[in-house]
Amino acid sequence: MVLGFVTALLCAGCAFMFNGPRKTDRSSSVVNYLYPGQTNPLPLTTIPVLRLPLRVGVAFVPSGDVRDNYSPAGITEEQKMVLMQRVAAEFKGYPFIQSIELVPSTYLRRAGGFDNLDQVRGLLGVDVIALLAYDQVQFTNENFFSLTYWTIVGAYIFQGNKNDTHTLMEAAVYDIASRHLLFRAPGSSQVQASTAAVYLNQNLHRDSAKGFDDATGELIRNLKAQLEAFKDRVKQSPGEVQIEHRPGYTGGGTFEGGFLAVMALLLLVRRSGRRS
Amino acid sequence: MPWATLAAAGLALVIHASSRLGALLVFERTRILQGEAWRLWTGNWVHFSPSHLWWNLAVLLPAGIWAERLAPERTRRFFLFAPFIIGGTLLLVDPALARYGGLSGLAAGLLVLLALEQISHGAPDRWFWWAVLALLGLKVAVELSADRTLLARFSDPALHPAPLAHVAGIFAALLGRFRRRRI
Repeated sequence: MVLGFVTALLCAGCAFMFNGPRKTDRSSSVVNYLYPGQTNPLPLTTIPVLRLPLRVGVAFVPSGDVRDNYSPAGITEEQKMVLMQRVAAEFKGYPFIQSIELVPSTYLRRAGGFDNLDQVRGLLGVDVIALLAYDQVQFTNENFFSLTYWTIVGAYIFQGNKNDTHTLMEAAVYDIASRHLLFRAPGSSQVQASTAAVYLNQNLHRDSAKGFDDATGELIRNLKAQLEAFKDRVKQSPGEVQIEHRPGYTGGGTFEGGFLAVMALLLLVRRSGRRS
Repeated sequence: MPWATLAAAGLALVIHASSRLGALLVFERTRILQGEAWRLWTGNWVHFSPSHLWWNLAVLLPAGIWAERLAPERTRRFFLFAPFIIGGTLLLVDPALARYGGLSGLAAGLLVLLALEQISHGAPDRWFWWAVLALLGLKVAVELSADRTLLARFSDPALHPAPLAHVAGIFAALLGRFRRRRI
């Protein structure tokens, strides 16, 4: 009877440890936030007017539900602020950006849409907003070393769990007034690690944070590249975006090719006149 | 030896190579008003892109070398005092301007200085120098009235032309000549 009781106890404990593979998914979506319930949003007709220097907002769109009962929901507000500060720090030095405001998550409501962005614009005075969204999936599987978990001590020493964290982030930059998407950029990362059973949740948290960190680094690089591409598009197709300058602009003087071409022509005429 | 022009060009290249130096020396209205007055002078040597720098040097170098060979003392005085006149004009006359950079104000002044020296020395091709003055005058007039550049385009659409810098540079060149004549 005692043996049976002990066996039942061990089985219960092992059942707790050996859950089999599991998956955690946490995500948010710019499309679901801006166009809730719309399958065919109306095409935009107004041309975006960018008044430089810009006042930019950075915000994480509200997230969806986490489909796993073992992990806490999504990314914390503190983590979001740290990531947003990283993004803001990279772009603060640009002469056409007057200020970058970090918008707290409480200012954005789920499926808030452009009406919500208009409220943020009125509250914080931002013209353009960079909406950050993410999708992070964490898989955890047991490997050969998980057999040592039967010894109890093995669950502390042997790394019988293999974790795989895939993170995808996206930044979509919108002009709030015209509701135009100006440009967007992705960032992704993959973190693979092994851990002992006892430290599983702790390491999953750490991998999650590292995944967001690495994806943010790639996002920043891609965002800079897309910003340069956007500036080229504005130069080549001035009808797509209208640029205006407000007080506090950055100015400079330049001569460039046209002036030098005319000067070169005059010099040519002068030289040919001297020869004759 | 046109050492002042070469030093000016070298300084612009050095500053452009270091973003920290650029940030420390660029004309920034709020920082100037907080006491960083050196930015009135040094802001002229800061550029916002490689093309901004190269095009300005393409005008400043030949004009400056030629002017310094023709009138060395006047040209060197120009390099010393004109940046303050340009920076001061922008600070006082254009309150909407938050940041400024570029050698084009000095380059415009050097062109005027060189043209006036050639004309006053009785150069046989005075028509050429009058044409240079007319072209520069047209450029400044269009920039002031139409709020856009003439025969020039910033590679960065975020940059706005600051024609007052050219006006101030030309004024500084004329001031040097008028002062000499008075003496």
